[in-house]
This record gives sequence, C-alpha cells and structure tokens, in this order.
Amino acid sequence: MGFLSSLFGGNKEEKALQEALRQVHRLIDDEKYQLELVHPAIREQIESAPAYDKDPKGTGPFGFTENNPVPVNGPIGQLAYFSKLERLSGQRILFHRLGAMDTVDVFEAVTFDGSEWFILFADLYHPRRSRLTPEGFRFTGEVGQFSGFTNFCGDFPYDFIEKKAAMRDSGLSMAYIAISKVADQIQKRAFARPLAHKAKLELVKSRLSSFQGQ
Amino acid sequence: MAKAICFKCGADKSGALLACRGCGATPRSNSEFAVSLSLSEHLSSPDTLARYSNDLRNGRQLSVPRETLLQALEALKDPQLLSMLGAEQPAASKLGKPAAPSVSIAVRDSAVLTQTGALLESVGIETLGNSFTGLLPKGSKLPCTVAQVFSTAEDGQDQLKIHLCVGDEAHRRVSYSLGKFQISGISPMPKGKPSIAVQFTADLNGISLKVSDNHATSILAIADISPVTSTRQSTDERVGVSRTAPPPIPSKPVARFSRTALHQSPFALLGATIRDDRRRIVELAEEKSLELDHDVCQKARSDLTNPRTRLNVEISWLPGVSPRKAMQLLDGLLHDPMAIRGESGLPTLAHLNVLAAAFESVDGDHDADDLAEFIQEMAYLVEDLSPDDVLSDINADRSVSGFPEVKSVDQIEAELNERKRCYRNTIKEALDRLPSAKLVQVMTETVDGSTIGGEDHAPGLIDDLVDSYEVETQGPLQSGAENIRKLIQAARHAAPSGDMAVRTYVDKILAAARSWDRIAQPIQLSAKARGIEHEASSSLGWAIRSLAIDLFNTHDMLDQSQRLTSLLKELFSEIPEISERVDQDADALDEIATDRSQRAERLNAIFEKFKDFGLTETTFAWKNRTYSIDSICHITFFRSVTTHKTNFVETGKTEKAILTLALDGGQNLNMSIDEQGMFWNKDLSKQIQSLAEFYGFLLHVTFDRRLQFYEDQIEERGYWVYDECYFYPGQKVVFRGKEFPVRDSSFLRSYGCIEMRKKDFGVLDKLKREVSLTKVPQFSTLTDTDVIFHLLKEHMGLSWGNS
Repeated sequence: MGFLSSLFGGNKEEKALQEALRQVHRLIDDEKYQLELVHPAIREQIESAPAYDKDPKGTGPFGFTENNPVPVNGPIGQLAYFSKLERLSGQRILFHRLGAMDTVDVFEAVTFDGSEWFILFADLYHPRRSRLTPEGFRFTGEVGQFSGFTNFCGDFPYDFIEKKAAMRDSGLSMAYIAISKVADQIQKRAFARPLAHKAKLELVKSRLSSFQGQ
Repeated sequence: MAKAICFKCGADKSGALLACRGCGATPRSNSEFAVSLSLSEHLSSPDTLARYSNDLRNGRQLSVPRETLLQALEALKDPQLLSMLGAEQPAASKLGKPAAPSVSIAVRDSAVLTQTGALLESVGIETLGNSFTGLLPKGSKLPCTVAQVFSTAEDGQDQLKIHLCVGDEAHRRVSYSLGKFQISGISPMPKGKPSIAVQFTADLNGISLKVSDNHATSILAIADISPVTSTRQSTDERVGVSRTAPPPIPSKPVARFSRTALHQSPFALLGATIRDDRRRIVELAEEKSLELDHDVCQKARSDLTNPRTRLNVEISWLPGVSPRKAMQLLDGLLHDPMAIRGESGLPTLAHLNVLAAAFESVDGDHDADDLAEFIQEMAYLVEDLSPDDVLSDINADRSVSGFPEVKSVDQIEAELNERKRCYRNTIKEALDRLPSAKLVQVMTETVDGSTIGGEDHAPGLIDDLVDSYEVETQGPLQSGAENIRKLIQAARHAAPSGDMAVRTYVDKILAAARSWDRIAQPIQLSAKARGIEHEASSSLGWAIRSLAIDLFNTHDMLDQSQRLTSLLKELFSEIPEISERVDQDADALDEIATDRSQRAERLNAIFEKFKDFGLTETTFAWKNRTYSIDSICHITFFRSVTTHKTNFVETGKTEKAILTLALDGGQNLNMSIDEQGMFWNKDLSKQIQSLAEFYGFLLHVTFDRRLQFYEDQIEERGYWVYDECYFYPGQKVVFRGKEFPVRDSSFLRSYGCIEMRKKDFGVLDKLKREVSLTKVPQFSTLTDTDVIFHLLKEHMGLSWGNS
C-alpha cells in the first residue's frame, strides 16, 4: 500500500480520489463534457453554431473587442478558456464577468501578481473553444484550473476566496486553483487598477446590455 | 462609475469619458480625453473637482496641474482604451445630439427562469388592479428582448415603479414577484409627457432591465426596492389583462422620517409584542398579509419564530419594555423624535435602540451643539451596556412568549457587537446628512467634549466614529496638505525676492492651514486622547515649522517666521512634540524681536540726534546729497577755536571744524563749519558740536572697515603706510629713510601729531629741529585717529596715558 493509500485509508478512498481528479480534468479539458453540463436546449443552440477559432467576420484585435470575441463552448468552456490563458511572462489571470453586450460576454482580468489588467470579450455560443489566444497571451503549460468566474464579483479580485467557496454547490469548486496561489497578493491588497483600465471599465460598463449587481 | 466633471459645462457626471447629461458634451479629441480624465475622481480629489466645477460654471479658465494631465495622457496611450474611445460614442452623440441616458439592473435570482435556453414562464409587469401584463412570453428562445415605453400619470412625477412578475398571460394573473424596481430622476414634466423606455432582456444569465429616456433629459437611476424577491406567491385573483401596458402606479412622495428602523422591525410590522407566542405571531402574519406585501409578512414571521434570527430581532427591538410602553415609544418617535431623549427608566439596550431611531430624524438643520451632546449620550450609554442585563431581559420576555431561553451570554455579546456597529452606522448616516461645515463642527465638539480637550479616553463608539471620519476625510486632508506644501514651496522660492513676496504666500498658508486644521481637529484630539500621533498633522506641522525656521535663518524674515510659529502654536497644540518645539521657537523669536525692537529704538534716537545729517542705518546726507556710510575709507577731523583780541580785549572768536571723509573712488567730502563772529555764536557752536558728535558716530560705525584697510597692508606687505611713515609691526618706523626702532626711540604725542626721537637725541638734533634744517620726524594723527592709536598699541606696543 502506497503512501497515498495509507493517507486516505485504503484502496477505496484512493479510487475516490482518483475519480475526483479525473472529474477535475474533464471539467478543465474535455470540451464535450463541458458541453454536456449545459442544458440540452442551449446545447442544441451551441452545437448548431459554427465551430471556429475566430469569427471570420470579426474586426479589431482578437479577444479585445466585442467585434472580435473569443469563440468558446458555453459557460464552462468560458471558464476553461480564460483559465488556460497566461501572459508571455508566465503570469496567469484571475477574471470575472462584467456583463454582456448583446451575446458577447465581457470579462475583466488581472494577472496573478496584479501587474496587468485586461478587458476581454468572449462569445459562448460555439461548440468548441478557440485555439487562438489574444495578443500577448499564450496557453499555460500548467493544468488550467479555473481561476475566475462567469458572474460578476463586486470586489474583484479580493473576493476570489468567497466566490470560490460559493461555487461549492455547483460542484465546480474542486476544479479551481488553490487559494494559496493568490492569497498572498490578496492579503497584501496588491491589485490596483491602473487609470487606463478604470477608464476602459467605465466605457464598457456604460455599454453593457446586461450585468449583475453593479 | 467614478464621479467626474463635464469639461464643457462643469456639471457633475458619472464616468470620466462618458457624455455629460447636462450639456451633452462628449470628449472627442486627445486633449479633451486627458482633461476629462483629470476632471474625475481618478485623478482629482473631491475638493479639487468642486473647484474645477466652480471655475467652469463661472467661465473661469481651468487650471489643471501638469502632472495630472501627464498621468492622463500616459493612460491614453493604452491601445484598447484608444480603440474603445474611437468606437465608443453612440450614434446620437456622433451627430452632436445628447445621448439618451440609460441605466440597467439585473433581476436577482432570475437565472433559474432562463437555464434551459428558453423562458420557463411568462415574464411581465403588474399593472393597475394587480393584473399581469406579459412582456416576454413563456418559451421565448434566449436571448430575447422586448422594449416598453412608460410615461407618468401625474404632473411633475419624477419616479416610476415597476413590479416585475412571473404570471399567467391567459388569466392575467400574477404568479409571483421577481422584484420591484424604482426608476428615479425623471425630468419633471406634465403627466404623460416623459417617455421612459424600458428594455426587458432575458438571456442565459437571467433577466435584466435597461432604462433610457427618449427625450434624453432625465438623470435616470434604477434600483431594486423590493425587500424580498423571487419568492413564489400564489394568487387566486384573476383580472383582465391590458396588452398596452398602462402606466405603473405612480409613487407618492413620502416624508423622510415617516418610519424608523424600529418601525421596520418584524415586531412593528406585524404588530406583535415581544411576549407573543409562536402561534400568535403566525396569526398576525396571516392577518397582515391582507394589507401588506405577503413576502414581507412571511419574512417577518420567519424572523420572529426562527430561533436563529429571533435573537437578532429582539436585540434590535425593546427588550425589557412592556408592550404598551413599546407602542408609546414608537408613536412618540413619529411625532416628536427628540422628545424621546427625555425618557428615563428604560433598560439600557432599549434606551439605545430608541435613541438610535430618534437619530434617524436628524437633518441638516439640527443644532450642532445639541447633536454633539446627543452623540455623547449614546456613546456613554453604549459603554454601560451589560450583556448579562440584556440576557436577563430577553429571557424574562421569553419566559412569557414561550420561546426557549438564551443559554449563553456569548450569543448576546456577539449580537451586541453587531448592534453597536448599527449605532455607529446610524450616527454616521445622520452626520452624513449634515452640511460639511456642521459635520466637522459636530465631530470636533463631540470629541472635544468626550475627551476633555484630548486629555481623557473617549467612549469606544466615539473612537469608532472618529476612525470612520478619518477614513472619509483622508482625501480632502491629503489634497489640502498637498496644497499647503505647494504654498510652502512657493514661499521658499519667493523668499529671495523679499518680505512682501513671501507675505502673500504666508497669508495663504495661514488660511489654508486653518481650514485644514478645522477638518483634522477631531482626529487630532482623538489621537491625543489615545496617546497616538496623527501622522498627517505631524508631518504638516513639521513642514510649516521648517519654513518658519528657513525664513528666519536664511532670509532674516522675523515677522513671517513669527506668524507661522504663532499659527503652529494655535493649530498643533494637540501634538506634544510639535507643541514643545514650537514653544521654544516662539520664545527664541520673541527674544530676537525684543532685541531688535530695542535696537530700533536706539537707532531711532541716533537718527533723531543726527537728523541734520539725514542719517539712516546705511546713509547720511550733506548739502542735499546722500552718501553711503559703507563708502567711507578714511576720516579726518580738525577743530580749532581762535580768540581775537585788540589791546588785550577779546573781540571775538573764530571756531572752525572740518570733517573730511575719504570715500570709495578717491572722492573727498569736506564737511566744514567755519564762520567768524564778533561774539560767541551759540548756534554755530551747537552746529560744530553736532559735527563733532557726528564724527564720533562715524568713527564708531566705520572703525572695523578702516582698520581692515591697514591690517590688509600688514598682511600683504609686512608694514602699513601712514602720513609718509612706514610702520613695521614690532620693529620700527621709517620716516624719509630714517629708521626709528621702537626699542630705541621715543614717540612724543602732541595735539594732532606724534614726533619720533631716537633715545640718544642730542644737542645737535635739538638744533637741527629748531632751525628747521630738516622736517621734524613726526606723523599726523588727525586722519583715522582711533584706528592709528589702535594699531600703534596693538602692533608697536605704543600707548599713551589718555589715548
């Protein structure tokens, strides 16, 4: 019996743990599984939409404007896509959803170290997520555990811990990054929005067609 | 959204780069973007924004600090921001028309209706007669949107209420409420004139409302005003439907102080007493549901019967007070809230809850002194709160109502802590309703009274209030301090230009520091009472002191330095270290001022004495010309009185005095008083005496300068030259090639000259002297007399008894 087995009390527990881990990986990586979690009616709508990496009619910088949003596969696909992004410097991002401009969702994001802030746009009505990244980003080599939310965080990103805790009911919380990855920065209150970002937020918020609790 | 000021009209607006709802102006060029960012909370303090607004409204030129504009311009390099700005302006704005103001709100918990990709039930609004008017039909594919235009039912109506519901379209029946929303800020117009468009959108995220004014004249806001949302409510009422969406029920203006927090307690809402049992509470809730919102009544019932929530409600109510007395108190609060302060004999917690409710009536007209006393009353009562007493009162009530007793005082303590926070918030909200100046006055008097001028600890509630006050005044204090620091810097720069230039800045520093201190006063007093230092005050105090010291030490500006020191004594007495140092400074400056005053008196006396010579501290005048005292290089004075006699009878005297001043540049000034009279001329004599005294004065004030002339010669050459003689210090005097060693010579002093003789002066020498074969070796002492005798003594060791 290995160390883990003894730690978790035997084969039964070990199997449960492995099953949980498998489930986490499916949540994070398996696009079909992500779609399965969406209600059938929506799934049907999503599956009937074109699958592409980028809207051929899109204009403007990819992911940075509502005219060229990132195509993703439903709400879980949104989570998975943004959670896999990292800056070229290796910094991953925390994010939350500000609201929507018609069918395009608008997200605010910040690097784990609080040094860079972004406004990103995604269109979730697509059967698979884009294989492209917005300029200045790449896909992380790490397991892309979820690092954001598809709803609005009133005290973003300082309420990350509470919001993560609130995800317990949804069954997604185990797919989230460990709090320790950002706790230090949160504790140090290291996230300060730069002036340009604040101005962008105001402009974006004034144009949202729907938003929550702002 | 950050508060901002329109760069065109100076009106308040939300969002730095968004259109102004007042004048419709939208920033379009890079410079307008930069100015607009600068005129926002992002880069300017509220005080500065108020100043900008005032300037713009009064047509004055806007003066934005360069650093602020640079920060804004730096932000405007962000490509995404630039791209948004390029694409941002809505079509109406691009055409130069004001954009329709719009605001949105999401409906809480509505996502459940949209989870399936189609609306699970019909969503609409409640219209007159409690009927349901459908807007988004059941089964609508998401996302879906419908717009509805509403107007007003009364002249001048400035708000509308919308009750969003799920309902049965076929039977026009409301099934349950999704929330009640209030749209406010509608421009006052005749009824039916406003045109408020409401867009109802359902998507995967739920349902949202977007409100806009088609006339673009309103400053709209939308708020969810329903206390409970998304609670299903069954209804059997089936009434007729109207497809044309009649106007919602207009809301009536309600007096601000119609209900207090106590009146909104579940006890008050249901008309229940703290001694009613569970069954009675349920009955009351059912009864009240007929006249009040069903959801509200059910929540009140739940709060009173659920053991987890009941304690909180009891603690916020009037434990230990009889039901009858409780009703009287509630009535009293509505009629004369301040009279309730005269109540005595109430349990402390109940007393505090009543006072907190009375506090809700405080408005901007309330007397500041009375308010400060009121706050202190509450603060001391909070100190008296005893968890054991509260436990006892609540359990006494519960013994009647039949609810289980509270076992642990810990539960009470936790609830009381929460309650104390409520008291603080209630007072804070009341203070926030006051005009700023009065708020500061109330805080100052409250802290001053409770700490006895900073000498004693204040009750915890007051400390908490001060802490909140400190956080909220941090912005104005910081910008005020920055302003004063800029003035200090400006005063330093102006100092080389003289007292008048500095005085202007010192005037401004005095005014700005007094305004700043008025705001900081409560914090300073509280800090002193707590034995801590208010860092902002301390830092500012030292900065002003530093200027005071520099102005005196570097620029000799005693008056300005004293003004600043007096200011520091006046404003920063609460900071012991500054107070102590400033007292020392003030003493030192007073001493200097006294010395200077005495010196000035002495000088004035001298000036008066020599007024004939037009004497000032640096100049004198002779025959309508003014000369600098510092230009005097050498002074020669000659005075004689000649008596005239005829046949041994005195016929008159000629008195003569000549003061010759050798000035810089080789010029000589002869001040001569020389007039012959038959008889003694007293006035003339007085003039000569005056000239002699002036000579004495000049000797005194120019001594150092004239002495230096000869000392420099000694330094450079090893001797000094005076009246044809070469004086070698300690050795000899050389006169026309003839040496008179000091040791071997006699120096005979007579009027106006000193004759030199060798000690072996013989008969032959006497003869030569008598027959004037040679010039008698002597030198005059009429020029720089005082200096020459000083040099002879110091360098040659020569002195005479009466010199």
